[in-house]
Amino acid sequence: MDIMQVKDLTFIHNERKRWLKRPEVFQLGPVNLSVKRGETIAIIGENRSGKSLLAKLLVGALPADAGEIEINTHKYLAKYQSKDSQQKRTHDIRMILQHSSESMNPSVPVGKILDEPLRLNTGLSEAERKPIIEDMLVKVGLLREHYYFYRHMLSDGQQQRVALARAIVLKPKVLVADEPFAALDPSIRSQTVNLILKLQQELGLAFIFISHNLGIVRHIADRIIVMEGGEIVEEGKTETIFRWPQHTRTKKLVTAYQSLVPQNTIRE
Amino acid sequence: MPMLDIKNLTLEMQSSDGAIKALDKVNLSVSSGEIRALVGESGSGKSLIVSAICGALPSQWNLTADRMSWNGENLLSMSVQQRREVMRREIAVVFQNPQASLDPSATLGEQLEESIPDEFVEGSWFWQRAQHRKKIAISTVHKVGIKHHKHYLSAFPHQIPADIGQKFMIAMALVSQPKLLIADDPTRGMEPTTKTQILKLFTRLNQTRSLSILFVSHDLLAIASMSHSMTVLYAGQTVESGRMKHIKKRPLHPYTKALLDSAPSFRKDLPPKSLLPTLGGSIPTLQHLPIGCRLGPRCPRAQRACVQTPAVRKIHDHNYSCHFPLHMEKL
Repeated sequence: MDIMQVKDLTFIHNERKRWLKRPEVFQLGPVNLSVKRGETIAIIGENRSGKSLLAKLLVGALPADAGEIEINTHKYLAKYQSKDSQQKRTHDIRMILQHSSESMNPSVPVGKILDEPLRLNTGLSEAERKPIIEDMLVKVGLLREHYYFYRHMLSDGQQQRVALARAIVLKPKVLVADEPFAALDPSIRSQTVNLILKLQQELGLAFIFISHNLGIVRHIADRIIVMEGGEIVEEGKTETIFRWPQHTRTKKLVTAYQSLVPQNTIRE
Repeated sequence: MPMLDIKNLTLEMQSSDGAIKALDKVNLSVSSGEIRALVGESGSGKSLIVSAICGALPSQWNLTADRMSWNGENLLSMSVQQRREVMRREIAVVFQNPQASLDPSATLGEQLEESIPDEFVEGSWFWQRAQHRKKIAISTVHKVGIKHHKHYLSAFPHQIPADIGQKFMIAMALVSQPKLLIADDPTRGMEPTTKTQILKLFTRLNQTRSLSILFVSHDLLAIASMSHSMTVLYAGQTVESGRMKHIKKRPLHPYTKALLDSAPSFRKDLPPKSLLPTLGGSIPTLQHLPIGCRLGPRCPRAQRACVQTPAVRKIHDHNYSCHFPLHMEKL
């Protein structure tokens, strides 16, 4: 069952021509994509291939130029930002930003950070919101007391957990993450991976993420999207992409990864 | 004989509640022609060790070591002049953040030409020398894989993308043809293709010029593919060190095992989407370091004896410091 359908999503960045300056044109898409319930999709590609842009367009952090996004049989034009459709969308699709620590307000305690999406998007009273937030903190492996903590009192891993809690506090159906594991240390990273896998099982979340770490991509992704120059050049199941890459860009990425991985040959 | 030999390096910082040992009896050695990896998570003191070798630590921090020598000469008792000479010609450092460690007010070309030692420049007249300098700069830049030298040599540090900056730092380090290259997290945030390019460059330099490399990183995949030996740090203590082959095959310290497990690429038998084995808890901050073995509170094998700092034990050239290492099954 498809939970999200993206049709012809297009974004055009057009810097106008001035006297001596050549026009800079960057076009993303048209992107077509369908996401199933509980599915994990990884977006890989070079720098400046439009990965982060695609993530932002999907969430609606940036308005697109054309195309439509369908979530739960409810259609949105990605181009318009009418109040009503924006409101609904924030419930079903949420985002984790790249630097979780920098995307949190340092002068506000964790409880308030998590309270904000609830306060702005739901009609719940304060007494109703607090137990939801505490539940959420426990769910991502923090303590109830962390409600009163500030950002600087938390370690990297805990900050990542708060960012995750903030993303899932509205019970979204789709979670989009921009390099969620890049800034983390190995041991904290595997904790976060485990946490996301667990939450996906519990909540049936669809998870779309961008990563450079192909080891983790191979481990948790169901499907992989390869991007180059603003276009999706290849798309397929994880094992298929890793074993039989078709496009030159994919081949490059996969061979670069394979050359690092210790090869288990017959000798061993 | 090791080129760089450090024994029991201790770094103490004064704080409001007594001295904090940011580095506690760290041992490290790099032989000539060897790629040694220094592995640790953030806050484990990797970068502090790099600064200690450079002599770039603030003077109010108390640095002591039983031995810290470069080719048999004591680095700690050297005069500033001698030390600078060594750092200029024999050891080169690639720092972590290229955008922050390059001079923002000079173009990359000027900076690179400045770091070419005078002996390498041929020609007797100033224009010949300037020309030759430029030629060396361009060839070095090509060597590290930057193609559009014209564009990048005349660019300022803020105008270039991070991965070019990183490659440029490597070019600047290599131009004086050092004996030891210290690379502090050189592949951070790079995409896989650029990363393999850089790693191949390092391997090639190591093989052709027998350049020793101290590779500081926490990217185990990169480390495992190129380095000969490895030293693992945790919260300022050396945890395990030895040949890469042996450590990968049979880690003795629980922390090393956890690190290796955290990279799913190492394990072919791991079913996709299964939970990764992890250590609970998080990395301790400098203010709240546990006593004894600093892994203690997170370690699955910890026992009462772990409040004493374990001594370094040795099996052939495989050193580890743990009271209950993994090959002792009985607890």
